[in-house]
Formats: sequence, structure tokens, C-alpha cells
Amino acid sequence: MDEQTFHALYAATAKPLWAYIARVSGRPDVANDLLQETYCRFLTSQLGKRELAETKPYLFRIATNLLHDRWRNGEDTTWSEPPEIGCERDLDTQIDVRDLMQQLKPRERQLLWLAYVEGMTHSEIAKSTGLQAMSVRILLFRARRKAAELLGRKERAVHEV
Amino acid sequence: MKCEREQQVMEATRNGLWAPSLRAHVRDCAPCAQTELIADALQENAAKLERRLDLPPAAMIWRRAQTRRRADALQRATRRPFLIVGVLSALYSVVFLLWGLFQLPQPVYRLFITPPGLSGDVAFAAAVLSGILVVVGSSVLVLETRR
Repeated sequence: MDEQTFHALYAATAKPLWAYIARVSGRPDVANDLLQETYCRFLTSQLGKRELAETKPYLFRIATNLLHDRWRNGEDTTWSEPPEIGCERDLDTQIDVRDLMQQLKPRERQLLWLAYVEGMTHSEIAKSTGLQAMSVRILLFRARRKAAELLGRKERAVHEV
Repeated sequence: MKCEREQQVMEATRNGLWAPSLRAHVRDCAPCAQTELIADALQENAAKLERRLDLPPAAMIWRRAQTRRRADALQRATRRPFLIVGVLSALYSVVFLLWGLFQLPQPVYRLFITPPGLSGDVAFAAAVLSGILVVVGSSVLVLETRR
């Protein structure tokens, strides 16, 4: 892969990848480091001649492995995303989602993000996380139910206020 | 419980194109309603995150990867010679130990007086050399094993 191709790939994939790492780890400060490490590993893996459709799940797989490594080492076990200073607080989305993610387990955050933000199918999620497709189906169902309960509870509380 | 139209609901939340039949379906289907609720919230949050994001420059990552690739290549190139030296050192140390075993019953100075054809000086030099090689070889082997 030459530098121009990499720039194009980076422009197409870096933002969603950063958002995924930041939301799953709960550490925007760590997301920059992991993002760089993900692309470095991708470039040094000598598998750079893939199509974009194949590359994206592969990049998510590398990022997921890096997140797992951190969890195995006991890092990022707690959600530590700081409140956004000077940013308008949107009760319907921003705060809800941060609260929601904080209350979910890392695996649940991962599955929900890949399914609902990245629009991955169960088999693509399986490839990106190293889980079996059948496990993805079950775990995603549970995560969705839990997330819907939490979001619904929050929504009811906002409406009551 | 899973609905067959869940994928369509996710697509619709992503592109905003809701067919009337799908909209009607979501009103009556609990899993699809949950999907819409979560997908909407997460996608909006993702869009906000991405809008105010300040990413590291691609050129910097490219340079870092190139540096790492060169370091990896260098490591791969030097790995085999070091391994060969390590194995040879180990082999040499085994030979030396076997030779030393024959000398054990004799007094220390006689360790260096060896069978005909091998002088004391040569034996001493060999002992020093093998000692160095043992240390180097062991270190290399330990490092390689750890890697």
C-alpha cells in the first residue's frame, strides 16, 4: 500500500474507528493511542492490498484485540470519559448514550456499536470480535434488551420532568 | 425474540428513508421499536462525536508505521545469525564440559594439562573462549525464548 492509498483509507475509516474505540473503552484519551496503534499494525501486517469492504472489519478486529489486551492487563476497567466542558448538553441523546454505555458491559457496548452504528451483520461482528456468529446473535439480543430498558427508563424520567 | 425486518429498521434509521409499511410495522413490533430507539440514539451520538473529532494526521501514522516496519525487518534479519551463534555456543559448551569432566579427579592446575597434542595455553584459551561463548549463547537463547 502506498502513502496516498493509505491517506484515502484513513480518511474513510478513522472517524468511525475512533468513535468505536472511544465509546467502547469509555476513554477518549486512550482512543487516539489505540487508533494509531491499529493503523500501525495494519500497515506492518503486509495485508494492505485488501478492498475497503474487507479492510474495515479487519481494522475493527485489530482495534478490538487491542481493547481486549488492555482489559486483560486490567486497564480501562472503569468508564472515565470526562463531561464535555462548553458542549451543549442534549438530554435526548448525548447524556443518555453516555449513561447507557457506562452501565453496559464492554462486550455489550461493542456489540451494540458494531450492529447499530456500523451496521454490521452478525457474521461481520463475529469476524470483528472473534465470537461465534450464534453467540453474537444471543449476546446482541440481551444487550439490546438491556439497552432498551435503560434508554426507556431515562426517556420516561425526562418526560415526567 | 427477533424480527425479520430488524435489518430494514436499522437501514432506515441510518438513511432516514422510512417506508410507510415499515413505520407501521415498528409501531406494533417490540424488537423493532427497541432497535429504532437504540439505533437512533447511538447513531446520533456517533455523528456528534465524529463532528468534533480532531484526529492525528495520517502522515504521522504512516511515518510511524514505516519506522516500525524497518525495525521489524532489521530484527528479522539479525535473528537467524544470533540464533546460530547461540546454538554453536551451546554445542561448544557441552564439548568443553565433557572435556572438563575428564580433568576433575586431577589437581586444578592439571586441568590445563591435557592429552598429547593440546598444550596448557591452548586449553586455557579454549576455556576462556568457551566461557565467553557460554555467556553470549545463553543470553541469546534466553532472549529468543522470551520473544
